[in-house]
Amino acid sequence: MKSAGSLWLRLTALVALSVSVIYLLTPIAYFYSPPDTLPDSQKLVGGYSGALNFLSLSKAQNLVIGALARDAKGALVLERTKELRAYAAANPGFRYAALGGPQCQPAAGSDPEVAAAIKKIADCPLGYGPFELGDAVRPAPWSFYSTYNSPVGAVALALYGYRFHWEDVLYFLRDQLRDTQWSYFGPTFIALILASALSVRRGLAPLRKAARRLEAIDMNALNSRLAAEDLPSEVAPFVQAVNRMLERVESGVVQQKRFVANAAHELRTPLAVLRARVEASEDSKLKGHLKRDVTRIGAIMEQLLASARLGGPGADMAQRIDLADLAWRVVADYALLCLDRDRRIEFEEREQPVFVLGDRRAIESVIANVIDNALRAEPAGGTVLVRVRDDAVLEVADHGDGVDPNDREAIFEPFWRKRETSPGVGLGLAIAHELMTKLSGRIWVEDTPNAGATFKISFRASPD
Amino acid sequence: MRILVVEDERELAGQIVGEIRRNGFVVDFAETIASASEALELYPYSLALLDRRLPDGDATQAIPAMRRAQPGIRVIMLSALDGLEERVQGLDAGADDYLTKPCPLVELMARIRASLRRPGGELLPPVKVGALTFDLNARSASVRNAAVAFHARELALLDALARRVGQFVRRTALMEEIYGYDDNVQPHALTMVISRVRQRLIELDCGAEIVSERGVGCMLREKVS
Repeated sequence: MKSAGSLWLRLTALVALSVSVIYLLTPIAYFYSPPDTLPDSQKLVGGYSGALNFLSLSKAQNLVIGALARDAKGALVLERTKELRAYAAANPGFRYAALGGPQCQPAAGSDPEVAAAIKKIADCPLGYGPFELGDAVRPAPWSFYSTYNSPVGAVALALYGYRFHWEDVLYFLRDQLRDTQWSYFGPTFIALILASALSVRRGLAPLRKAARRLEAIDMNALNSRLAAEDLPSEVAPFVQAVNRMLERVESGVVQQKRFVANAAHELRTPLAVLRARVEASEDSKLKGHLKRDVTRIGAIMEQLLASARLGGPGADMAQRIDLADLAWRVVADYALLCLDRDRRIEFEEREQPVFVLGDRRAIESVIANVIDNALRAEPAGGTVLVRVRDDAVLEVADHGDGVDPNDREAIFEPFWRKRETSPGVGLGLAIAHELMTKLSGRIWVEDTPNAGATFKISFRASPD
Repeated sequence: MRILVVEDERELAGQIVGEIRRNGFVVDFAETIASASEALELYPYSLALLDRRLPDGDATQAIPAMRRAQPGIRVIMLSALDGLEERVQGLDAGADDYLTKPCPLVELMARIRASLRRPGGELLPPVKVGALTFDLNARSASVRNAAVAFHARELALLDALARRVGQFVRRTALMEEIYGYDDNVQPHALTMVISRVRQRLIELDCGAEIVSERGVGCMLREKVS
């Protein structure tokens, strides 16, 4: 199964990413002011274009600072570096100035008009902000001055006419990261990520609980539902949908069972007719064969019926039954069928009854099926031995080929067969297995000493 | 001895009626509760065999009326409804016995005989197995209409087997029926009786035989040629 990865990891990553983006872009929000809600003095760079241009400021600043140098006399100069020339070519209106030194003189190479513009603010401007160029009334959204600790000393940089380009955002992000006070924001970040992880985990806890509960639901427990209380609203619809699905599946299964029960019930009467006809017929050889066939059909049908009924409301699992007596009855039925064949069946007589709890018909049909099976496995001249033990275990031993240790689980699967070509045992053992589960008992197979298979069926013993 | 069969499955009814008739009873057949009541007004019956579900209702409802009409009648319910509850309901309603379908005809006959056997009851028709005839009332055996002498214990054994002809009878049941509570008998004694009777039947060449299976019991049946 392809997994989409951990939801909480993904959500945590998403939270971390969005927090980072918001944090990094905060300065833009700061520089954006709605044009008409603030007094003129506070409209720093005006509108979105100012905010966008601000993203490109970092690159322009870096280029200009990179161009700063001192000449032989120690005076500041702005060299026309290759990068700066390229930038100016891409931004035709780009102008800049740097003031430095004790008297804040414009560095050589500064744009005089720009230098004059910030000189108007202060002789040695501190802080940062936009500025008006020439006789403009308002600062342009692509004007910015700030003081800066450059490699060649403190300077006031004034830039004008820088414009937004997508690739400049990288410069901006790099500077933003460099200038962040990590000692303060780091723990905040970590706390946010942990909080999101925790809330996802806790929010999904009901789903994990529901999954554990679903694991326990099988064909026999279809009437159970997931707890629908105390669920977060995001999880509730899913749980409710699962519950509705369980309802539909359950009603479907009930319908199916009713169908099987009805079908088997309908078959009983014609089978009784068939059995009666066979008993009344004259040809005794054919009669023997037919009787065995009818009995086999009857055994399977009774099993089907018992299996369909045990799941339903009419099942009475608490009947107190003498296993020894019931087993004798089944053995006697099969002994009748065996009489004129070359296989025999023997019942180990016992004095004391063995009481078990369960549904009489179901128990009877399981025993019948296992005996029928043993008689088919028994070689000619052999005797199938049936025994009821004190601990409510019934043993049916044949002397046939036995069951390979590897197949001991598989023979209880529906339609299992020893070889592709051999006739399958069909549903008999599978239904027997299902019935025994419903009867809170167990059926398994062991070796008969010397040769053959011994099927053992353990029933729920009745308390005295 | 007259028996009323009330069953709406015609084919099954035909088979049941045929079997009972072969065993020497007079049989009438009704398909509904209404026609059964009519029959009960016409003839005396020793026993009624009732299917539970009939076209005009649940047969358990009809039992009290049948008992009023013929106080001595025995009632056996025959039904596909086999839950414990259904059985109890059927017996509570006044049935003497409750059999579930599908039920082998030999067992049905044994139940009918058991039901009819009571002190002061009417005479049961004799059981015929091959050329052997066993009179359950007089407890006497005959082969081709000639009386055959058996010892008392042997007759008791034949009686027990003849009533359940074609069915295995457990040794414990035979012990109880053949020996009294006070008899101090060894299990071996029963084996002796069985083998003596078996031998006699072979000598008589009467077409009847006793077969036995270890742990299962023994059975009287017509010899398979």
